[in-house]
Amino acid sequence: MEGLFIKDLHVSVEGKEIIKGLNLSLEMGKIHAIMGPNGSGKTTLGFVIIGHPKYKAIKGEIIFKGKNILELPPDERAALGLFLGFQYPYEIKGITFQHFIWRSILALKDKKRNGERFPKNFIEFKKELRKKAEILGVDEKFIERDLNVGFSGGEKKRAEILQMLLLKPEFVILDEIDSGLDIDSVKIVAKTIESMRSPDFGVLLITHYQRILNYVKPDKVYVMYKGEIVKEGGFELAEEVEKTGYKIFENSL
Amino acid sequence: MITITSIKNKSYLKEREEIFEKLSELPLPSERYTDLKKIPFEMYLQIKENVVVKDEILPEEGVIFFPEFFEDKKAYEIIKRILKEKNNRILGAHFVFPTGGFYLNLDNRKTSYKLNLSYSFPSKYFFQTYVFKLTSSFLDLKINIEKEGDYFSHNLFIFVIDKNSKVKIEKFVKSNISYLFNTFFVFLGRDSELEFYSAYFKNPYLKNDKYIFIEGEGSKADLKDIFLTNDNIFLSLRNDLIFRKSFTYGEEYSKGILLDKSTVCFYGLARVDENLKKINAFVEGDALLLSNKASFFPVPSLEILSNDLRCTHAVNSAPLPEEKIFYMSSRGLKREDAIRMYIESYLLSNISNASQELKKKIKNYLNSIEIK
Repeated sequence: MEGLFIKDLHVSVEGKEIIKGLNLSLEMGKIHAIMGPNGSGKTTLGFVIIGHPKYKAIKGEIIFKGKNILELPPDERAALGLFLGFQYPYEIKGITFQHFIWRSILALKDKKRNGERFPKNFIEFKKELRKKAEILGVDEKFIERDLNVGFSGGEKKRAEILQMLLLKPEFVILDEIDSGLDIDSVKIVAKTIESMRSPDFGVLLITHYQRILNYVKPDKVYVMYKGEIVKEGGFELAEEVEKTGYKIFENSL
Repeated sequence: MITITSIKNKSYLKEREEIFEKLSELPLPSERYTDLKKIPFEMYLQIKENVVVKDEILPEEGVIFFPEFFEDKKAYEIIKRILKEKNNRILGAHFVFPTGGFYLNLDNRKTSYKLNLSYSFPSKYFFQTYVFKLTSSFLDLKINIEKEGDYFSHNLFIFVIDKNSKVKIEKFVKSNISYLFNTFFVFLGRDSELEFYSAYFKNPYLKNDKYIFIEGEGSKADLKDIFLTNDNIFLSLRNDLIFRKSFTYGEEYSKGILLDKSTVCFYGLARVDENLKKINAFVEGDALLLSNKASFFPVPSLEILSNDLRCTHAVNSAPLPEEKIFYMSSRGLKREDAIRMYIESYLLSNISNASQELKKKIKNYLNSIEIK
């Protein structure tokens, strides 16, 4: 069985333990969803998987493609095929969206990941970029603008999905990808994620609400509460959470 | 395209050679001046002790070197005013023992000029003066200083930009001269424009002063500086915008990156004279400090003596934004490459309207340095 496997993970941020002994098996070919209230450690989990320097794993391991990735820098994790869609993507003035992605693709090609799947040159890349931007309903001018600078909340999220399509990762973590999106955009994003379903592609959706899960049907749903997984189930768990809220999980710890 | 190395008055050549000889007897700049911050004044005294000069430094002394310039009454009056207002001994030295320079009067109406200026180095101490006067003309000036060596250099630039003229200056300094001083005086006449992009790298001790006198209605000045300092570099940038007429615009924005133990002082001033209206002024200095041993001393100032205007000033200094570097690395870029890309974008975003030629030079330099 292939996937992303988290074993007895403890994570601290600035001396405070946020994740306390987390175990998760996220299989490839499936869509997983983690739900939880604010401060439950969902975003921390996304950051520690991708290698944020502030988020320190003090115990445990994260296995992907047979390797414990915790010692790897973020670029090496990206080279293995991991991708995080940020909840709050950063604005970088002076680097256009297309230039940034093209440089990232060149870096990934150097690391020999998916070499044959990436465009051979900048012209091919531009063609692919235009095509995928069109699928997401992204204006062509948008790709020539500075990365995330002056983008609305919704544009930033669509830009993250566009990056995902172009960088061709194998396992993606999408953190609150639906926040800031209007209902039509949620449907487009959800359709895009669903269209990527394949045995070689895994997804972890991090969300507060059931809304996006109405359009992306998760195979597994986990509830995270105070840094631990307190319940897991199918889509019906998301519906239950929507009705009851998270307080009922207080006694599960 | 015109190319000018220097305009020399033959009668002065012999005297100049004698001065060079005396200058060459002085100790090397780097041996003599260990306390960098005392250089300007001490340097002057040192030269004065070794070279016979008169007690008073007067503009007339320059006549022997720039006869054409001092026949120009308006420019001559300006020089006198500079010396009087600034009371600056280093500037005075230009008129006692200038070692190079030229006077250029561009008065062909509606004509564009392109000029590339690279310095010659006649002695280890040198004072070069360049004077430009424009009337209804456009000058595209590129200044390159990429020399290395143990020199003491002061370069004085004077621009008289008369009505309906425009000057675009791009200055690239990537030298290793012991002490480098550049002083610019720019006088903007009615409906004239100045676009001034400067890039400073590598020089161990560099002081750059720009005094922009906005003296004609409808005139505009836009100054953009970028810098990257490393090792023990000391860089001082002074940009003074002096508004003397209504309906004018002036902006200055210095932005740079400090590494290692380098020090940068930024003095940005917008001064608005009395009884003026519809002035737009903007002063900003930003720095990224990539080392906890680097120092940035920003001093933005506004001296406002009128009411009907809009003036703003700002200063920012911050460490490297690790969150952004992480974001970039998470897409596959090595940390070093992400930092390099971030630095490049941080600097180039301040000179987005500069030529591709200047941007390419900057990129080449940034690619050549080590990012720790």
